[in-house]
Formats: sequence, structure tokens, C-alpha cells
Amino acid sequence: MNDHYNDLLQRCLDEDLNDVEMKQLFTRLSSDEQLRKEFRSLTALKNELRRIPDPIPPINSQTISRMNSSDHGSIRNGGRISFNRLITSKTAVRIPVLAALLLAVGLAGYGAMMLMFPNQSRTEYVYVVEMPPVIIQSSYSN
Amino acid sequence: MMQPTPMTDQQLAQNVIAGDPRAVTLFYERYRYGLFRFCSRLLSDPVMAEDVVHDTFVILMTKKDQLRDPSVLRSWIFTIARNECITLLRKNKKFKAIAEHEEESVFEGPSERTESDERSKIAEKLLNALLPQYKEVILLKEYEGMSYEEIAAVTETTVSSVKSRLFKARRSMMKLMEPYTKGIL
Repeated sequence: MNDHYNDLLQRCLDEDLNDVEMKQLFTRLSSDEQLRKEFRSLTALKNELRRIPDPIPPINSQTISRMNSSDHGSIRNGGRISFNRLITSKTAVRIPVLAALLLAVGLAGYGAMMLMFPNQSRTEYVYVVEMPPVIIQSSYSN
Repeated sequence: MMQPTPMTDQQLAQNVIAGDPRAVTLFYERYRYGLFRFCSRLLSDPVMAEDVVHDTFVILMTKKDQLRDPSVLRSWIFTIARNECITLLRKNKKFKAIAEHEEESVFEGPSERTESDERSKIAEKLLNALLPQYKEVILLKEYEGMSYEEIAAVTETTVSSVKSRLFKARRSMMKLMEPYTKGIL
């Protein structure tokens, strides 16, 4: 078996052969038992490699997002991975800014209401606390 | 209703280089698992691999202005990840330990383990027992579906060297696998 057919065999596995080369290889395969054996072994190896389960990313408690299988080929076991180092830095900045903005809008709205309806909009709460009579006894009585 | 056409890798890469944050997120979503899978198998450590993936994207964000050709962005991030992995392996001297350990366990003999799950476990052990320069070409070819040219770019070598390494890696694995596949083929 010479280097040329070895090369063709490898490239066949990698789907890198054109039609002419493919024909050349298969013509040779039909007459070369050793090459056929090699081909079977290499195909078996390729199949075994494909059967190895994909590694599962460790689940990160901070930011977990599901993998989109259409983008990543065969992802078994629902692979998960986090983007926290890139995303959280932005989110960490955005969340307080958003909260401050909402608070400012709320306060502005309240202020506007106070100006437009100075008397009507107020609700006065009168707290009446009934205190029980307290008798203070002095321990230092004469 | 018409579905929006997904961005091609080339368009995505152009937008990443232009600094579009949505493109960066999309790029990350598209490639993170492939990168993780590659790093995890190269390092044999998913936790370290996840760190490498993060670091790779951080490096990408800081150095993206240096990239002139968007078509090589994919191989560029794999190159960054590979170099990070190699640095970690050298720092921890972990590869040698893994290789020795795996070689010991691989040569236990075929015994009765002929079931398909057992075979894939053996294949995984054999893969881990390969030298890193062989292992990486197998990983990039078999799992990431890269062309010889892309692998050559990632591993910073030539196409003929990639072919030669693939050939040697497969031949080596095939030889080690022989006792387990006897009677199957």
C-alpha cells in the first residue's frame, strides 16, 4: 500500500476527495484486501470517536443560559455555559441605572400631581393613639 | 411571517470587529460550545475549559482591532483558546500526568468490554492518551469539522503537517484500538 492511497484514504474520511480521486480509491479498494482492512478500521475509529459523549460544561450559578442546539451541532445533555464575565459586567451597570431612572420618573410624576392638585390629591392620616392612664409610682416616695 | 435570515459567519465576524455588542453576544452564542468542547477535551478538565472560553472571548474583545480579515475570525479564536490551553498544560504540567495515567489504564487489556458504551469510553481514553499535537488535530477535524487549512491556521503549522499529524494520530489510535475491535470488524 503506497503513500498515495494512504493519503486518499485519509482524505476520504475527511470528505476531501473529488469524484476522480474517489473513483480511483474505490477501484483500488476492490482489489486490495489490506487497503480494505485499513479502510474498515479507520471508519470504525471515526465512528467510535463520534460516539464519545460531548463534554458537559459545569453549571454556573450566576448566569445560566441554555445552548442553542441549532448553532452548535449535536449537543447532547443540554449543554449549559455562562457568559457572566462578559455579560454581567454590563448588566451590573445597567440594573442600578435602570432602577434610578424608574425612581426618578416616579418622583417626577408624584411632584407633578402635587403641583396640579395641591389639596385634592393629599390624603391626611390622623393617627389617634389612645394611651391608657399611667400611674407612675415613685419608688422614692417619702 | 418571514423568518429573519441568520447572519453568516462572515457578516457576524465583520460586525464583531466593528464593535457591535449584539454581534459579540451572537458570536459567543454560536461558538462558545465548540470552543468549550475543544478546550475541555484538550485539557481533560471542563472547569478549566470554561475559564479558557471566557478568557478567549475577553482576549477577542481586547484584540479584535488587530484582526483585518473577518473570514479567519473562527480560526483566530480557536488559536487563542489553543494557546491558552497549552499555557495551562505547561503551567500545570498536567498533560504528562494525564498521558501517563491514561496510557496505564488503556493497556489493561480488552477483557470483556465489547459493549458499545465501553468502546466509546476506550476511544475517549485513547484520545486522551494521544500527544497534544495529535489530539488537537483530531479534535478540530472530527468535532469542529474544520478544513485542513483552518486546522493549519489554528495550530500554526502547514496543511501537509496537519495531514501528516491526522494520519499518525489515527494510525496510532487504530493500533491501540485493535484489541477492542477484534471480532467487530
